[in-house]
Amino acid sequence: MIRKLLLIAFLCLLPIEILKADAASEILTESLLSKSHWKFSKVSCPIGCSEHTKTFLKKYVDTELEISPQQFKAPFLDQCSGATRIEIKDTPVSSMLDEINKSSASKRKITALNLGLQAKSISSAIVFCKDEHTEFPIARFISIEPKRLLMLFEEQSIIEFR
Amino acid sequence: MNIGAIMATTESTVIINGNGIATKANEVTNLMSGKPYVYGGKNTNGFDCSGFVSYVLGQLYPHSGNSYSTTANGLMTDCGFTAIDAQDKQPGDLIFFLNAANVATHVGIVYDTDHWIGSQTSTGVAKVKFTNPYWSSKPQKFRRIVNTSTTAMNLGRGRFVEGAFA
Repeated sequence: MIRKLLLIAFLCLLPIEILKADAASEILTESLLSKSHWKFSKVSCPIGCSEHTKTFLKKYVDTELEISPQQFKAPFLDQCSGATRIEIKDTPVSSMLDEINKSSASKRKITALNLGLQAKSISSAIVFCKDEHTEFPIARFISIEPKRLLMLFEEQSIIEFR
Repeated sequence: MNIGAIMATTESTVIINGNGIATKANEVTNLMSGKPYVYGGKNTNGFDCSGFVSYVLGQLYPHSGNSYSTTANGLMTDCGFTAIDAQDKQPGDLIFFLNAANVATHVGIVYDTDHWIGSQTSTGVAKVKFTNPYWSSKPQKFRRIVNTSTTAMNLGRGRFVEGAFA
Protein backbone atom coordinates (compact mmCIF):
# COMPACT_ATOMS: atom_id res chain seq x y z
CA MET A 1 0.00 0.00 0.00
CA ILE A 2 2.78 2.42 0.98
CA ARG A 3 4.62 1.50 -2.20
CA LYS A 4 1.51 2.23 -4.24
CA LEU A 5 1.04 5.61 -2.56
CA LEU A 6 4.70 6.48 -3.13
CA LEU A 7 4.38 5.49 -6.78
CA ILE A 8 1.27 7.63 -7.23
CA ALA A 9 2.96 10.56 -5.51
CA PHE A 10 6.01 10.12 -7.75
CA LEU A 11 3.90 9.97 -10.90
CA CYS A 12 1.97 13.08 -9.87
CA LEU A 13 5.16 15.04 -9.18
CA LEU A 14 7.03 13.86 -12.28
CA PRO A 15 5.50 16.27 -14.82
CA ILE A 16 6.11 19.19 -12.46
CA GLU A 17 9.77 18.19 -12.19
CA ILE A 18 10.04 17.92 -15.96
CA LEU A 19 8.44 21.35 -16.34
CA LYS A 20 10.86 22.75 -13.79
CA ALA A 21 13.81 21.22 -15.67
CA ASP A 22 12.62 22.70 -18.99
CA ALA A 23 12.07 26.11 -17.43
CA ALA A 24 15.46 25.96 -15.73
CA SER A 25 17.09 25.04 -19.03
CA GLU A 26 15.43 28.02 -20.72
CA ILE A 27 16.56 30.41 -17.99
CA LEU A 28 20.08 28.97 -18.21
CA THR A 29 20.09 29.40 -21.99
CA GLU A 30 18.84 32.99 -21.72
CA SER A 31 21.39 33.90 -19.08
CA LEU A 32 24.28 32.32 -20.95
CA LEU A 33 23.31 33.82 -24.27
CA SER A 34 23.68 37.47 -23.45
CA LYS A 35 21.91 38.46 -26.67
CA SER A 36 19.83 36.72 -29.30
CA HIS A 37 21.40 38.28 -32.43
CA TRP A 38 25.06 37.72 -33.25
CA LYS A 39 27.22 38.75 -36.18
CA PHE A 40 29.38 36.26 -38.15
CA SER A 41 32.71 37.88 -37.36
CA LYS A 42 35.35 35.57 -38.85
CA VAL A 43 36.24 32.02 -39.79
CA SER A 44 39.43 30.13 -39.00
CA CYS A 45 40.77 26.73 -39.98
CA PRO A 46 43.37 25.93 -37.29
CA ILE A 47 44.33 22.58 -38.82
CA GLY A 48 43.52 23.46 -42.41
CA CYS A 49 40.33 23.11 -44.41
CA SER A 50 39.54 22.99 -48.12
CA GLU A 51 39.41 26.04 -50.36
CA HIS A 52 35.76 25.18 -50.99
CA THR A 53 34.88 25.43 -47.30
CA LYS A 54 36.86 28.66 -46.79
CA THR A 55 35.27 30.29 -49.85
CA PHE A 56 31.81 29.11 -48.82
CA LEU A 57 32.06 30.49 -45.29
CA LYS A 58 33.66 33.80 -46.25
CA LYS A 59 30.48 34.63 -48.19
CA TYR A 60 28.63 34.74 -44.87
CA VAL A 61 30.92 37.11 -42.95
CA ASP A 62 28.82 39.94 -41.46
CA THR A 63 25.58 37.93 -41.73
CA GLU A 64 23.43 37.41 -38.65
CA LEU A 65 22.84 34.43 -36.39
CA GLU A 66 19.69 34.35 -34.28
CA ILE A 67 19.73 32.12 -31.24
CA SER A 68 17.32 31.89 -28.32
CA PRO A 69 15.52 29.03 -26.56
CA GLN A 70 12.68 29.40 -29.10
CA GLN A 71 14.53 30.31 -32.28
CA PHE A 72 17.65 29.36 -34.20
CA LYS A 73 18.49 30.80 -37.60
CA ALA A 74 21.80 30.85 -39.44
CA PRO A 75 21.84 31.59 -43.19
CA PHE A 76 24.51 28.98 -43.92
CA LEU A 77 22.72 26.13 -42.08
CA ASP A 78 19.43 24.27 -42.47
CA GLN A 79 16.48 26.07 -40.96
CA CYS A 80 14.69 23.82 -38.48
CA SER A 81 11.13 23.19 -39.59
CA GLY A 82 10.19 21.62 -36.23
CA ALA A 83 10.95 22.55 -32.62
CA THR A 84 14.39 23.79 -31.61
CA ARG A 85 16.08 22.76 -28.37
CA ILE A 86 19.42 23.98 -27.04
CA GLU A 87 21.41 21.76 -24.72
CA ILE A 88 24.11 23.63 -22.83
CA LYS A 89 26.75 21.98 -20.69
CA ASP A 90 29.92 22.96 -18.89
CA THR A 91 32.92 21.16 -20.32
CA PRO A 92 36.60 21.11 -19.42
CA VAL A 93 38.49 22.72 -22.31
CA SER A 94 40.74 19.64 -22.56
CA SER A 95 37.71 17.33 -23.11
CA MET A 96 36.27 19.61 -25.75
CA LEU A 97 39.61 19.78 -27.57
CA ASP A 98 39.94 15.97 -27.41
CA GLU A 99 36.49 15.67 -28.93
CA ILE A 100 37.26 18.01 -31.83
CA ASN A 101 40.66 16.49 -32.47
CA LYS A 102 39.15 12.99 -32.63
CA SER A 103 37.09 14.19 -35.57
CA SER A 104 40.12 14.84 -37.73
CA ALA A 105 42.62 12.67 -39.60
CA SER A 106 45.18 15.46 -39.36
CA LYS A 107 48.27 15.08 -37.21
CA ARG A 108 47.94 18.75 -36.34
CA LYS A 109 45.81 19.40 -33.28
CA ILE A 110 43.56 22.28 -32.34
CA THR A 111 44.76 23.92 -29.15
CA ALA A 112 43.21 26.27 -26.58
CA LEU A 113 45.54 28.96 -27.95
CA ASN A 114 44.12 28.49 -31.49
CA LEU A 115 40.67 29.21 -30.10
CA GLY A 116 41.72 32.02 -27.77
CA LEU A 117 40.50 30.08 -24.74
CA GLN A 118 42.06 30.87 -21.39
CA ALA A 119 39.63 29.32 -18.88
CA LYS A 120 39.91 25.66 -17.90
CA SER A 121 36.21 25.10 -18.33
CA ILE A 122 33.77 26.44 -20.93
CA SER A 123 30.08 26.37 -21.71
CA SER A 124 29.35 24.51 -24.93
CA ALA A 125 26.04 23.78 -26.62
CA ILE A 126 24.30 21.61 -29.17
CA VAL A 127 21.28 22.93 -31.03
CA PHE A 128 18.75 20.19 -31.80
CA CYS A 129 15.90 20.19 -34.28
CA LYS A 130 12.92 17.93 -33.70
CA ASP A 131 10.72 16.87 -36.60
CA GLU A 132 7.91 14.33 -36.43
CA HIS A 133 10.26 11.31 -36.48
CA THR A 134 13.61 12.38 -35.12
CA GLU A 135 15.51 14.81 -32.96
CA PHE A 136 18.89 15.58 -34.46
CA PRO A 137 21.67 18.17 -34.01
CA ILE A 138 21.92 21.07 -36.46
CA ALA A 139 24.72 23.09 -34.87
CA ARG A 140 27.45 22.72 -32.27
CA PHE A 141 28.87 25.65 -30.28
CA ILE A 142 32.18 24.83 -28.68
CA SER A 143 32.30 27.95 -26.55
CA ILE A 144 29.62 30.34 -25.32
CA GLU A 145 31.08 33.50 -23.86
CA PRO A 146 29.47 36.84 -22.96
CA LYS A 147 30.91 38.56 -26.04
CA ARG A 148 31.74 35.65 -28.33
CA LEU A 149 30.32 32.40 -29.66
CA LEU A 150 32.49 29.77 -31.35
CA MET A 151 30.75 27.33 -33.67
CA LEU A 152 32.32 24.15 -35.02
CA PHE A 153 31.65 23.80 -38.75
CA GLU A 154 32.74 21.21 -41.32
CA GLU A 155 36.41 20.20 -41.73
CA GLN A 156 37.10 21.51 -38.22
CA SER A 157 36.59 25.09 -39.33
CA ILE A 158 35.63 27.46 -36.52
CA ILE A 159 33.20 30.33 -36.93
CA GLU A 160 33.37 33.23 -34.49
CA PHE A 161 30.29 35.28 -33.75
CA ARG A 162 30.39 38.59 -31.91
CA MET B 1 3.75 -18.31 -61.36
CA ASN B 2 7.18 -19.85 -61.75
CA ILE B 3 10.16 -19.11 -59.59
CA GLY B 4 11.85 -17.17 -62.37
CA ALA B 5 8.89 -14.79 -62.58
CA ILE B 6 8.89 -14.27 -58.81
CA MET B 7 12.60 -13.57 -58.91
CA ALA B 8 12.17 -11.16 -61.81
CA THR B 9 9.38 -9.35 -59.96
CA THR B 10 11.47 -9.19 -56.79
CA GLU B 11 14.51 -7.93 -58.66
CA SER B 12 12.50 -5.22 -60.41
CA THR B 13 10.83 -4.08 -57.17
CA VAL B 14 14.21 -3.90 -55.47
CA ILE B 15 15.11 -1.06 -57.76
CA ILE B 16 12.21 1.08 -56.57
CA ASN B 17 12.21 0.51 -52.83
CA GLY B 18 14.89 1.21 -50.26
CA ASN B 19 12.67 2.35 -47.41
CA GLY B 20 14.20 -0.26 -45.11
CA ILE B 21 17.63 1.36 -45.44
CA ALA B 22 16.21 4.84 -44.82
CA THR B 23 14.25 3.63 -41.78
CA LYS B 24 17.32 1.95 -40.30
CA ALA B 25 19.36 5.12 -40.91
CA ASN B 26 16.73 7.09 -39.00
CA GLU B 27 16.80 4.59 -36.11
CA VAL B 28 20.58 4.98 -35.84
CA THR B 29 20.16 8.79 -35.97
CA ASN B 30 17.87 8.65 -32.93
CA LEU B 31 20.37 6.43 -31.14
CA MET B 32 23.29 8.74 -31.90
CA SER B 33 21.60 12.10 -31.25
CA GLY B 34 24.20 14.53 -29.91
CA LYS B 35 27.18 12.15 -30.01
CA PRO B 36 30.13 13.76 -31.78
CA TYR B 37 31.68 12.66 -35.09
CA VAL B 38 34.71 10.38 -34.62
CA TYR B 39 37.22 10.03 -37.45
CA GLY B 40 37.50 6.31 -38.31
CA GLY B 41 34.51 5.56 -36.03
CA LYS B 42 32.57 2.48 -37.10
CA ASN B 43 30.26 1.83 -34.15
CA THR B 44 27.74 3.57 -31.92
CA ASN B 45 30.51 5.14 -29.80
CA GLY B 46 30.93 7.53 -32.74
CA PHE B 47 30.88 7.37 -36.52
CA ASP B 48 32.63 8.97 -39.41
CA CYS B 49 30.61 9.30 -42.63
CA SER B 50 31.46 5.98 -44.26
CA GLY B 51 31.45 4.22 -40.88
CA PHE B 52 27.84 5.30 -40.39
CA VAL B 53 26.74 4.13 -43.86
CA SER B 54 28.59 0.80 -43.52
CA TYR B 55 27.06 0.29 -40.06
CA VAL B 56 23.50 0.89 -41.32
CA LEU B 57 24.00 -1.47 -44.27
CA GLY B 58 25.69 -3.99 -41.99
CA GLN B 59 22.65 -3.98 -39.69
CA LEU B 60 20.40 -4.81 -42.66
CA TYR B 61 22.70 -7.23 -44.44
CA PRO B 62 24.75 -8.91 -41.71
CA HIS B 63 26.27 -11.39 -44.16
CA SER B 64 27.91 -8.63 -46.13
CA GLY B 65 28.05 -5.87 -43.54
CA ASN B 66 31.73 -6.21 -42.85
CA SER B 67 32.66 -6.20 -46.51
CA TYR B 68 31.55 -2.60 -47.19
CA SER B 69 34.34 -0.13 -47.69
CA THR B 70 35.11 2.23 -44.85
CA THR B 71 35.93 5.18 -47.07
CA ALA B 72 33.44 7.36 -48.94
CA ASN B 73 35.28 6.89 -52.24
CA GLY B 74 35.53 3.12 -51.64
CA LEU B 75 31.76 2.97 -51.24
CA MET B 76 31.23 5.04 -54.38
CA THR B 77 33.34 2.69 -56.49
CA ASP B 78 31.93 -0.51 -54.89
CA CYS B 79 30.51 -2.77 -57.61
CA GLY B 80 27.62 -3.63 -55.26
CA PHE B 81 26.10 -0.22 -56.06
CA THR B 82 24.74 1.11 -59.31
CA ALA B 83 24.83 4.76 -60.45
CA ILE B 84 21.54 6.71 -60.22
CA ASP B 85 20.69 10.11 -61.68
CA ALA B 86 19.98 12.80 -59.09
CA GLN B 87 16.38 13.22 -60.25
CA ASP B 88 15.78 9.46 -59.75
CA LYS B 89 17.07 9.30 -56.17
CA GLN B 90 14.92 7.45 -53.64
CA PRO B 91 15.03 6.62 -49.92
CA GLY B 92 17.87 4.22 -49.21
CA ASP B 93 20.12 5.43 -52.03
CA LEU B 94 23.57 6.67 -51.13
CA ILE B 95 24.55 10.30 -51.73
CA PHE B 96 28.20 11.16 -52.31
CA PHE B 97 29.85 14.57 -52.13
CA LEU B 98 32.90 15.10 -54.30
CA ASN B 99 35.92 17.38 -54.04
CA ALA B 100 37.54 19.33 -56.87
CA ALA B 101 39.43 16.20 -57.96
CA ASN B 102 36.12 14.28 -58.32
CA VAL B 103 36.92 12.09 -55.32
CA ALA B 104 34.11 11.33 -52.87
CA THR B 105 34.96 12.90 -49.52
CA HIS B 106 31.58 12.49 -47.84
CA VAL B 107 28.68 10.05 -47.99
CA GLY B 108 25.17 9.80 -46.58
CA ILE B 109 21.88 7.94 -47.07
CA VAL B 110 18.85 9.44 -48.80
CA TYR B 111 16.07 9.57 -46.16
CA ASP B 112 13.13 11.13 -48.02
CA THR B 113 12.49 13.63 -50.78
CA ASP B 114 13.81 16.49 -48.63
CA HIS B 115 16.56 14.97 -46.46
CA TRP B 116 19.60 12.77 -46.39
CA ILE B 117 21.26 11.39 -43.24
CA GLY B 118 24.99 11.29 -42.59
CA SER B 119 27.67 11.74 -39.95
CA GLN B 120 29.16 15.22 -40.29
CA THR B 121 32.17 16.62 -38.44
CA SER B 122 30.10 19.55 -37.15
CA THR B 123 27.11 17.66 -35.73
CA GLY B 124 27.73 13.92 -35.76
CA VAL B 125 24.88 11.82 -37.19
CA ALA B 126 22.08 14.10 -38.37
CA LYS B 127 19.40 14.71 -40.98
CA VAL B 128 20.38 17.29 -43.57
CA LYS B 129 18.18 18.99 -46.16
CA PHE B 130 19.07 18.60 -49.83
CA THR B 131 18.85 22.39 -49.95
CA ASN B 132 21.50 22.80 -47.20
CA PRO B 133 23.64 25.74 -48.40
CA TYR B 134 26.99 24.07 -47.70
CA TRP B 135 26.34 20.51 -48.85
CA SER B 136 24.31 21.50 -51.90
CA SER B 137 27.27 23.62 -53.06
CA LYS B 138 29.34 20.46 -53.58
CA PRO B 139 29.17 18.14 -56.63
CA GLN B 140 27.08 15.06 -55.84
CA LYS B 141 26.60 11.52 -57.12
CA PHE B 142 24.04 8.87 -56.20
CA ARG B 143 24.30 5.09 -55.93
CA ARG B 144 21.77 2.34 -55.24
CA ILE B 145 22.49 -1.00 -53.65
CA VAL B 146 21.89 -3.91 -56.05
CA ASN B 147 21.15 -7.61 -55.71
CA THR B 148 19.08 -7.26 -52.55
CA SER B 149 15.42 -8.05 -52.14
CA THR B 150 12.67 -5.56 -51.34
CA THR B 151 11.58 -7.82 -48.51
CA ALA B 152 15.03 -7.77 -47.00
CA MET B 153 15.24 -4.02 -47.42
CA ASN B 154 11.87 -3.46 -45.81
CA LEU B 155 12.22 -5.96 -43.00
CA GLY B 156 15.82 -5.08 -42.40
CA ARG B 157 17.35 -8.51 -42.71
CA GLY B 158 18.78 -11.01 -45.13
CA ARG B 159 20.28 -10.71 -48.57
CA PHE B 160 19.01 -12.07 -51.85
CA VAL B 161 21.65 -14.46 -53.08
CA GLU B 162 21.22 -16.90 -55.95
CA GLY B 163 17.45 -16.95 -55.71
CA ALA B 164 17.20 -17.45 -51.95
CA PHE B 165 17.27 -15.31 -48.84
CA ALA B 166 20.58 -15.78 -47.11
